[in-house]
Amino acid sequence: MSSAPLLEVSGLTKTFAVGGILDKRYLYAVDRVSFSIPGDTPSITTLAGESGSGKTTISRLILGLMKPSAGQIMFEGAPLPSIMKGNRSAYYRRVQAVFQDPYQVYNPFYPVDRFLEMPVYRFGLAHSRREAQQLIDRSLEAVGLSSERVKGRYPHQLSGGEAQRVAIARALLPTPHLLIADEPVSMVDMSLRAGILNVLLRLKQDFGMSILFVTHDLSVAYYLSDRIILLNRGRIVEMGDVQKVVNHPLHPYTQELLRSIPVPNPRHRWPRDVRPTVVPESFGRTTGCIFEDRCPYPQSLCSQADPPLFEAESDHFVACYKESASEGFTS
Amino acid sequence: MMTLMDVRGLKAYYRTLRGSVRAVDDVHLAIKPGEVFGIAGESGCGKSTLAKGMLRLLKPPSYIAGGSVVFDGTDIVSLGDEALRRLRGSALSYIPQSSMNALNPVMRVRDQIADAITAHSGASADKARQRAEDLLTVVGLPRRVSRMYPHELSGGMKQRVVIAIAIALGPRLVVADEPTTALDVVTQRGIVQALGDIRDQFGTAIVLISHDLAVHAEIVDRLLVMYAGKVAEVGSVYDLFENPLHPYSQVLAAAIPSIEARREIKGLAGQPPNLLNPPVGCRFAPRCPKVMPECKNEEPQLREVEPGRQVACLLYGG
Amino acid sequence: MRRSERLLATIRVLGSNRKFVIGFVLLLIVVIAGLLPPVLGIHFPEFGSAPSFRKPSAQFPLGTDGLGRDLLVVLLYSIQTSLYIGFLAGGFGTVLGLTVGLISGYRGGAVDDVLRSLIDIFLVIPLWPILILISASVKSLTIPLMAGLLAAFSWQGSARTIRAQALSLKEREFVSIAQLSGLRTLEIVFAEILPNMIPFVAAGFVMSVTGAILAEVSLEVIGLAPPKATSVGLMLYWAQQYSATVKGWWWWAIPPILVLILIFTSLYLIMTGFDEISNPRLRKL
Repeated sequence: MSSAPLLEVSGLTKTFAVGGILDKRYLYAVDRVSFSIPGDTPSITTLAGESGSGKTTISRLILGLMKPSAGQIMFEGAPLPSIMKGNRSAYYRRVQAVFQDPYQVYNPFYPVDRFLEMPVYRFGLAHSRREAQQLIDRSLEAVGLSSERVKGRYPHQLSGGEAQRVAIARALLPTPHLLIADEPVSMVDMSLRAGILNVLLRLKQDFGMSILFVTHDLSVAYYLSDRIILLNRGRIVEMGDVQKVVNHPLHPYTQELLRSIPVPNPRHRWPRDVRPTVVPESFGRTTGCIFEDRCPYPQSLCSQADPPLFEAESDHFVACYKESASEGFTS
Repeated sequence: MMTLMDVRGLKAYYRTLRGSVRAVDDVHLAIKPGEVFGIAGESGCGKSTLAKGMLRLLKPPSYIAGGSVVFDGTDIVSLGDEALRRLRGSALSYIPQSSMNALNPVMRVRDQIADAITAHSGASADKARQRAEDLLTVVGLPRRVSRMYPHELSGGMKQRVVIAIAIALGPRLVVADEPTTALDVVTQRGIVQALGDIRDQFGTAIVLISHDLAVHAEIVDRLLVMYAGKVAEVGSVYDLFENPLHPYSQVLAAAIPSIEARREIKGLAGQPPNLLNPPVGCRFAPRCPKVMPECKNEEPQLREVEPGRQVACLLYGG
Repeated sequence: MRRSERLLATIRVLGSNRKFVIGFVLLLIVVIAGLLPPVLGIHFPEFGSAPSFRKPSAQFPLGTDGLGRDLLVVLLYSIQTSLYIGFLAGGFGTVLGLTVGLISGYRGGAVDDVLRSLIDIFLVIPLWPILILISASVKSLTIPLMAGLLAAFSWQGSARTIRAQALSLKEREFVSIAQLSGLRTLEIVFAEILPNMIPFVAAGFVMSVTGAILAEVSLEVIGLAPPKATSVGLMLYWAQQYSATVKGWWWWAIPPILVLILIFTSLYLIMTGFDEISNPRLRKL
């Protein structure tokens, strides 16, 4: 018998108004997105997509830094608005985040110590200065840093990798149930990335933490995650167990993405004859499938109605009429 | 084997209040005609400075502090300004980082390409425009793009226009500095393949600068890995990925996650040294997993350990 | 690096800029001059304490005026008053501008709309007519009242700059992190955003003071000044009333003007120096 899901998102939508008074249009940054993260076992779920796919907006919505235009977010069985209204602090003891730019999260005016002390004091995690320091030291150890290396330093004195690790250490202090990591390694040098990614893996394996990992890099997503959710212009196109999605992609967009990823193996290069399509960008809600303008297999149904998510096999969902072929719809 | 460009002992520094930062410090490399040559390294290793230094495009406070760049028999470093100008565009071309933002927003694509042509050759305006449209096809764009303005194009399309301008005069060598940053993965593939097409169709040598090793794996013939202003290793792309010799190249090869297979990846701690006052001895020593006591005192020299393969490491007698 | 080290570093940076140092020193000279009388125990000259209409001489370096006062002493006391009003008004104005700008920029929404309109109104209304009108209608224009009046019409400039800064700073990720770490809105505004605005607040303060002294002198020259006090502007007023320049009594007018030039030059140099320091592109390499 499983407990309530850790996170359940249904019909999540976020629109932004663009244009002037006479020409107002709405950009659907997030369009009826639904997914859940199980509560019984720790897992790493990736929200994957290119820039403009809505993945960062979703993470901000889950963190309560933005309000949704429609839809619902439930955390451990309780709806987000009621959690936030009551006690925001309590929420942030159970959900924390790490962001993309390792340096922007620090206020350049203060040393890094304050960055780590803030949650300890605000959430009442310790009863004395000594206890607070012990807590911080333990957190730094968990990310592979010593407090001597970090104490008294200003953010610009740390390397990108170190700054990002300290950011993870801060997020760990209230021992959250869910960690949202938004592109945590994109701005970090290649040789330093592995260390941070392995820290995240350890958090799941040793500390039982679930992670919502947001990225555009599918190679990293494949390395890290159990499940993957692929977004395109605000909608989910495919999702499920990461091995199934990567090894057996069903949606034409997923297929094109996976084909285009550079592989660090000179023996397996991109086939020379296959070329991606060159199309100018678009935005805004379209009636019908979001990928219709670039799809190699459009059918008449595709331009009329948005395909719902269809369970092609166990834990592998795809939003494509080619696959759903009119039977077994799941939304 | 004829060499198109031979860089020997190139030093490119930049001046600051506290002294000169030795961004490129004694670099040797050789590029063959028609080859795709990759320069890889992490932020601050000097690869961008090297690219600009090779073409004498450095502006103050950067400057060339020594060395030679021999292109087709002529040393660019000591060339006069007018001769250099003629060489650039017609024989040597450069695509800077984020160059898709450098397109003139008030000129149509065709005119921008045509301008580059008429500026360096005696071609008539009509001929230039015709050639501009042909070039668009070479880089994989539909002909109708020629009449469009930059703001009507996506990032990837703009980047292709920039490439078209760069090859407009049929250069023998094109240096592309991080041509795929800020582009999505599908567009990136298109751009990288377009560069490969140019080499296949015209025999142009391409020098690709990128921090993304996987991109190098997809297209380059030979790869050079830089660290802290120096060359760590040079060799065929197969050698560098399947049998890297320099400990740094080994670290890089083991640090990349691959969509092909899930295997453990490992990285490094620490950061590259300060190039204002580089330490004595090997610059990678503080972080090297195979460091030996000698490494802290003796600086390794680049040594050819096999034909076409050079390593700068004391482990290989450097 | 502790706070004291940070302060030392700031002082060093400021000291390295020639314009700032020169301006600061000049202003310091003026301020010290203004403080000399009380320190040296020289009393404010009463009417008739000295022979009137004297030319500058050894005994009276700046001569005397028509009311029998040693003009040098009068000038020193005037400097005191003028600077006092200027800094007081500048201080009030900066605090007011800071408060409005912070609230408006950080809160956003309806509050921002209202406050922003208020800022815009004050930016657009003609200062002089209103200042003159109010000063002339008030029965007794005391020094604090004058400072308050000047402040009430000088806060809008810094409010606008501070608001723009607050708007951009609140989008920064360290603000999101502060929220995620449990900080409340007020704490975020004062502990996270305000420290990053110090250069703007400081620059705004200098601008406010400059503006206030300018406005104050302008009012005084036409006679709208606190009674019983003497100020630089008022000296010029009296000079004009007695047609001093026409009659060749240059020592009534020139010294105050020179002092004013000195004050404004020093403030300008301080501001420009500040600008050079905070804008790395202007820094000479």
